[in-house]
Amino acid sequence: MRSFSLALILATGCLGTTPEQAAEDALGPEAPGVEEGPLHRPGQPCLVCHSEANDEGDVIFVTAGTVYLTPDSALGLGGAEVTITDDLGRAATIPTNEAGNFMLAHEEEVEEEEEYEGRVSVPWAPVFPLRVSVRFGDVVAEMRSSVGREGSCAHCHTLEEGAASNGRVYVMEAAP
Amino acid sequence: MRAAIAALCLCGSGCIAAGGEDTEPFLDREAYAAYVHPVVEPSCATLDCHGAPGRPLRLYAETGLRASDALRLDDAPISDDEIDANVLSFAAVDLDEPRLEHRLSLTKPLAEPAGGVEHVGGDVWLSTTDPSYRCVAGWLDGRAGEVEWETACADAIAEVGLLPP
Repeated sequence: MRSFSLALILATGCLGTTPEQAAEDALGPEAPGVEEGPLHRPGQPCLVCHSEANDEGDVIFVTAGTVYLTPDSALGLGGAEVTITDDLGRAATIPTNEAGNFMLAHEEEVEEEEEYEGRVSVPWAPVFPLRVSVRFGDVVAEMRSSVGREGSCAHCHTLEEGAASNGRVYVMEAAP
Repeated sequence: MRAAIAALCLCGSGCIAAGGEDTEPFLDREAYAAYVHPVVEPSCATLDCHGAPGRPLRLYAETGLRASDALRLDDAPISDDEIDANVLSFAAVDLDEPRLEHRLSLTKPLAEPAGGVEHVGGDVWLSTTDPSYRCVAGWLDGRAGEVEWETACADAIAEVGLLPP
């Protein structure tokens, strides 16, 4: 009887989804006209997919997110620089791409820092907590607290500000 | 049950009882607000750590979890209710542990070689001489107000304090 039940479950695909898959599904489809890649899904929690917990054979990010000019900017901000300093004082500076996205990856095989379309790979494994600052032109915005353990900036910095979110990562309160 | 009730009762002097009938350091609310919270806000209360709703030792903070959307949208300083809730969180974590050095509030952030226990958030304090450890331990132990405790807290705040807004 048990084996019959198991066979029935398998046949109907009712084993459910993992929490990781459920989180990925909750992100929804790609935006129309945007292909998977460095420019996709600005403002979403990158490590839902690009993490050890959900490794699809691609590069795993240590931390990644999207920078906006102001708290209510509709589009991400290209050309900003995000500097991430780990607990041992090692720093990497990552230029945001045209979607405002930036990504820091740890790749042991790279001999020195490499940069590609908003992604910087470093040969050292960043140690949390991380300090973060963003520069855009002459303006520097420094995160007041540190990042304790979460690699997806959008985990805390969701698009809408609220009790459990500081809102978007932004450079200035209002556009000049 | 009586211990639980005692721990959750705010006494008239503005303190919260932590522990059972045999132990009472009282958790001094004002000392928490002035000295301990500025230490734990940057180290523990970020949104990705104990500023996450539902996580043990859930902590509210100006830069972390707020008790309401309005507090965040108004950029309001930490409220009295949030401070009270944080003190109760500490009381709840250590409800049944009378031995100071065994309280999870101290052993979790402490590195294991120094007497700590496994902590998902890693080693926050490397030793019991860390000013932050001494600040939190002194508060849990009812030594708020002592000069040595205040010095430890001041050192800790200088070391880990938040950047200004």
